[in-house]
Amino acid sequence: MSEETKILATKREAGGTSEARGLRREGRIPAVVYTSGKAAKSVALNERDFEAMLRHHTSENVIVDLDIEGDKVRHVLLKEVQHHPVSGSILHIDFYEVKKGQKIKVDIPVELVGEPIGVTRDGGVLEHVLREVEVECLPKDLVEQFALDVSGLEIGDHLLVKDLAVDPSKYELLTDEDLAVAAVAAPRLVEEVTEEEGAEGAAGAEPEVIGEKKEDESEEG
Amino acid sequence: MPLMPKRVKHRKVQRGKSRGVASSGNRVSFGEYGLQSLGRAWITNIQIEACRVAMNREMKRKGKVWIRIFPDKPFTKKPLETRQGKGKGGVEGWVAVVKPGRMLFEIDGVSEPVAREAMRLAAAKLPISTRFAQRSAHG
Repeated sequence: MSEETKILATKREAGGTSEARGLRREGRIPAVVYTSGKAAKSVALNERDFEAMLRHHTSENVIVDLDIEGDKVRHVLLKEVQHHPVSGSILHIDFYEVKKGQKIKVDIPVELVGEPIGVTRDGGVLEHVLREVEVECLPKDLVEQFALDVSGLEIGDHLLVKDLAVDPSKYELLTDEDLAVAAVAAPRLVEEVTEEEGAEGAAGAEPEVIGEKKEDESEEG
Repeated sequence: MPLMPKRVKHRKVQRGKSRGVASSGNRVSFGEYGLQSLGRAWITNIQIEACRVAMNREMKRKGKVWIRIFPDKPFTKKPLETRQGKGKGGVEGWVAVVKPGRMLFEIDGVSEPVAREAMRLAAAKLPISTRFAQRSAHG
């Protein structure tokens, strides 16, 4: 089970872009807390504290105690963290309030453990096809990742979602059980296109224009 | 053969503007390592092909490469020593419009040092600054 950490937050008025930018300049992150059947609450939290908390976890599947100033402490799941595409800084956070006995749907990452025989002995390529599986579980059973041992795989072998060592009494797999998670493919034997061929192809080819009549057709018409 | 569309709606298009940052295609989504753009440019299909060849050569045909950009924009050029006017020039090549943050290539199935070197060689063939990216659980 994942550790529960406490984060302090302050209430904020649901504002627009400029207010959010102002908060980020002050080193705070705009966030929202919501749950089914209740109105969403806009909050702000300290960027440093949140990043420090996140560094202690391997995934973003974390349940935290959110202490909102002047309000009660809420048991929340980190639903989404938005990052800036270039700087990587955190822009916004979604928290989903969970009740202790209520099941939640989460995507849990799958970590491949070991080096397959097909890779070490035969030079195959390990393909990590499915990186996350969706499960339904109680908040107390939430884990950061599922481990899958791939050391026994030879070339052409694969492991499916149903091969994950998941306790069925705790987790209900929502992802199709017949989907492949990992596979070992044969080493590729790709023929490189020679430079001459490439140049020839580039000069001669021209894409077809949709809706434009060909010369032969226009002559006939 | 360098990448280009099979069918297009218009033979020639206007240049357009490139503003803002890449709002999609900005994460490592398929492989384990990626090359992320830090600038904005038109990347030609020939540059993409050069990167692909450099990466595959470094990886010694092991692993897998994903090209996350596609040159779907035609650019034109007037012939040399031609007077102005007489219409738009002929299609000279194809480019992909790249904005900061865009994931250009992804690699999987090789060790990190090999991936870094392959990406370094690919980056040397591009007209923009780039950075090596790794799949992360934290965005």
